[in-house]
Amino acid sequence: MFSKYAFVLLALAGACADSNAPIRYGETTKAALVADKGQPSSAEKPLENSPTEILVYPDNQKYQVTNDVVVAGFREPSSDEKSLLYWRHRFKDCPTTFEALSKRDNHLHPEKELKCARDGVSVIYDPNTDQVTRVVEHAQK
Amino acid sequence: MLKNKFWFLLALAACAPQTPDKIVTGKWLEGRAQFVPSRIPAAGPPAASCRSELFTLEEVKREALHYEAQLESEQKINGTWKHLRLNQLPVAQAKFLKAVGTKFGDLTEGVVTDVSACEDAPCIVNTVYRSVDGLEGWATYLWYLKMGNVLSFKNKVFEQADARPGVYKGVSYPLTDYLFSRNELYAFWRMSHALPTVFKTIADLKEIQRVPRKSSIEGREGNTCGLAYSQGFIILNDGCLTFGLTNDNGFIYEGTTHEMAHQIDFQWGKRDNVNSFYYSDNGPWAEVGGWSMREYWDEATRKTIREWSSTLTDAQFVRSYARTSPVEHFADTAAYYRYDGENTKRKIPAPVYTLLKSSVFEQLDYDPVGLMSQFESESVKMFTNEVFQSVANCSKDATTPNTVVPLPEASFPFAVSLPERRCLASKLKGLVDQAVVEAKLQHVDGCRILRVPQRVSEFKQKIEATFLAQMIGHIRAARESEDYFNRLNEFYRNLDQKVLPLRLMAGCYGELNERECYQDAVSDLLDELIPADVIQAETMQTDLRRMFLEANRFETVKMETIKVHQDFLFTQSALISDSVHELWQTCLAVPLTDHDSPVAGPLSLGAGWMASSQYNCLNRDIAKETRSVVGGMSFDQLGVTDGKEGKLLYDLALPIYVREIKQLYEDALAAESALVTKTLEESSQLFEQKLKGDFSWARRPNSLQSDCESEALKNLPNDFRYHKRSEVFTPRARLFCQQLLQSAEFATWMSTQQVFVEQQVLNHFVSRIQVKSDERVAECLEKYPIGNIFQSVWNKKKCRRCYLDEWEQLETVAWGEALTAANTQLPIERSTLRGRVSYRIEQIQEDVHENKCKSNSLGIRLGNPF
Repeated sequence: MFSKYAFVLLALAGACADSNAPIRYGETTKAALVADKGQPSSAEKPLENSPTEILVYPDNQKYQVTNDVVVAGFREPSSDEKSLLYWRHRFKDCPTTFEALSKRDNHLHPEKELKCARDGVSVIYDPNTDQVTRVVEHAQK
Repeated sequence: MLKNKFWFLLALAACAPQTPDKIVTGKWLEGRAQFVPSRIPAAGPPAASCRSELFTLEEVKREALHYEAQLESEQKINGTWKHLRLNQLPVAQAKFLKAVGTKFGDLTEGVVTDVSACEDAPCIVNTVYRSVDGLEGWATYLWYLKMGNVLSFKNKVFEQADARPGVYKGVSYPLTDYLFSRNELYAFWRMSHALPTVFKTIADLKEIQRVPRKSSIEGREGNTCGLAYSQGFIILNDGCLTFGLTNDNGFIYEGTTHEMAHQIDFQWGKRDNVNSFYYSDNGPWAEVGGWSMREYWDEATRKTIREWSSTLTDAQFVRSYARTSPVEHFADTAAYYRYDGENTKRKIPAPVYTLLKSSVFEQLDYDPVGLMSQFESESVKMFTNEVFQSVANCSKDATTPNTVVPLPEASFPFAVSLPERRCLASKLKGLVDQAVVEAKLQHVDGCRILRVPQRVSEFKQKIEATFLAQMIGHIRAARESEDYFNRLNEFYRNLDQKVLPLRLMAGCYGELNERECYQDAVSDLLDELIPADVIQAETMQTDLRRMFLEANRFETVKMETIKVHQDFLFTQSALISDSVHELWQTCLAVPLTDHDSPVAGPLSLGAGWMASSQYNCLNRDIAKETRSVVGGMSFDQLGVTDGKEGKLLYDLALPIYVREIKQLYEDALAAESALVTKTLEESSQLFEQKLKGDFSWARRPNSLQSDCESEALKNLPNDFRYHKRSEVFTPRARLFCQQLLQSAEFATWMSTQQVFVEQQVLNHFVSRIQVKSDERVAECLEKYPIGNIFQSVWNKKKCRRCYLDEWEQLETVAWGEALTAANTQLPIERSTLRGRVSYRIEQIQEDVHENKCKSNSLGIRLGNPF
């Protein structure tokens, strides 16, 4: 009987430990994410016939889940994080790439992605407004 | 009962007890008059004059001098511009020259545009244009005065790839190909009259530039004719500067307005910044356009994908391009709203139309019906005094030729004498004819709309009815109260002034619901002016309130209030500039470091760089200094003390302050860039000297490249503020180090260094052990095969024993081969070094035990999982 209770306690301890664990992109499961963040306000399917879905949370926070694994997260930048200089400073020891997201033929510059693949962090920068508009976290390379 | 209650309200407002003015801009505005275009006598009937005929040197210059006078200030701008002392020029000219800076005309090295004979700003422009009559210079200057940005007159395009002026996309162009043609300047002048006030309040827009004729825009497909940069530039090529059948239509209008609308979007986005940085991709515009963003991370390419989509159908956009994104949707719809009002109204959904109408176009429509309505409203405002004076004059002296047909008795609800009716008829006809002339002259679309006889007749009928109603009201007022009638007389002389609505609007700035606040302010005013004990006070208040708000629409007054305050700030430019310079120097004096993270603030540098010590100093103090500057502003001994006015001035002054800081940054960056280039040129020599001369930096065999680069960077100057050292110099250092490490010199030196030779030998040793291990495993498995479960049980231990047999000898042989490969003369002892690679050797053995001399329960020999 004691062993039965011990088992239950251990299981609970494990569950509690999981729910407070930071999200590890490429490893954390959808279940763990939902246990931690609660049910999403909505879910989107960005691609047809694909196992990928985007779980939407308040404050425009989103998580991309593929085959039940959280592979990426999207959030708004904090006020300090809105300047590109902040991220260039933060990534100063990380080899980065800085590429246009799309080759759009219009009157504005396309958004650009400053990526530190080593840390699994990218930021989306809009040269038209001179602001970082999104922070994207994903599996490290 | 008074029918024409509007005039009653205004009269009472004019004569109400005046409290001391607390609003500085109100006091400043009192001295400003509206510009009145010349009345050009036409060869034909008076109704033949059109706005387009007023694009002459005399008229453009007159208009420019009018606005220049309104922007004048006692506080002059300090400094010099070439041979000109800025404090001896009108403030507007000084600011124009400061905005142009040294970048004008032909910027090719060695070419100097001689402007020494010029005494004013338009002359500078005319010299570049080689103008025959001076029109180009005054038109360019006038655009600056009205719109706040410069029509570029130089041969370099913002952010062009080629550093050489006059060369674009590898092709040389003469200066003239970069200059706007006279027709294009006409179009800009026309737009300055056509566009609503919001287009004149784009504080961050610095310049509109022309891409050289016949060239497409660098880096873009051929059908892109314009680009808007948030750094404050718009560039346009031939495609955005085309005309239609006349110079009054053509894509030049839609194209330019589209790009300016982008700038408005940027500006409003900063103002409304919650989670977005454009006005259009969030909030009401995104809602009415049915816009949503699809974003996901592409796991295959490891790139973020972001795409917009709308629930509107293709037919609900003004054209397909507007479908690209909410940002393009906003810019395109705004452009077509103004110049193709009828089709736009028909095509786009009502919520989109309504939102644009109220947010940008001050509740004005630009289809023919809407334009006619504008002409009517403007005529009513313009001729209010004349209508009043007509009644006053006809009541005193009704002498009029008998040939004039009097107004019928039935037109009046009371008896009016025949002579008076004849007199009024004559006045009325004159006023109506004049209203038609003014509509064509004042409004850029006047001639186009009133070209159709039916529309002219319709317009005349409506205006006549309105003027007649006013006349009836004035006659009644005169009969009821002579005193009131006299007060009205005095008031109408000053009817054009916008001070009252401005004061009411300024008091509502920043309120959660500004519209409601403004309307309430009007109601409060009426409560004060029309006491409750006046007969039918409530009805009178309701009528007057409606009339006042129709004549002073919230949207129009709001935009005009912003413009007035911006213009006031223009006159205070010297104060702002002095403060900016002082703050810049203060932050330069802060010890230079880059340890702290950059903090958020009003200043951002795009993809630029600034040492965080300086950046944080500026970002911490810009807001405070701007507030201080605004607090120090005054006009005619009245300072800024009203909280709301102060807030509005602060909100408008802050981007100006930031812009000037950015200009100082760009100047400093350019100066430092020259130094960086010089340092780069000298760097190779320095690296040779420091890194080749002494290889003591090479201590760690596994980090030679990075140690070399670190050492190289250490020897470069450490005081660059606006260039990230590692980005600028690392590629050069990297290349140098790669070559150095492969050089014979370094190899020779390395071969004399114990630590490197030891590492080399150890690497060879482990590599040879791996090879020999593989050979031995193959031999052992041949002797003791493990192909099924029975063999595994029987032979597993034998295989392992075979593998490890005389292992020491295997190592001895491998060591010998490693020494031979290293070809060194240095004494390298295995016994002292083996410990460094023992774990790697153990891994090789472990792999054999676990994966080769073993099988699983199914009889399958496992392969090497590593």
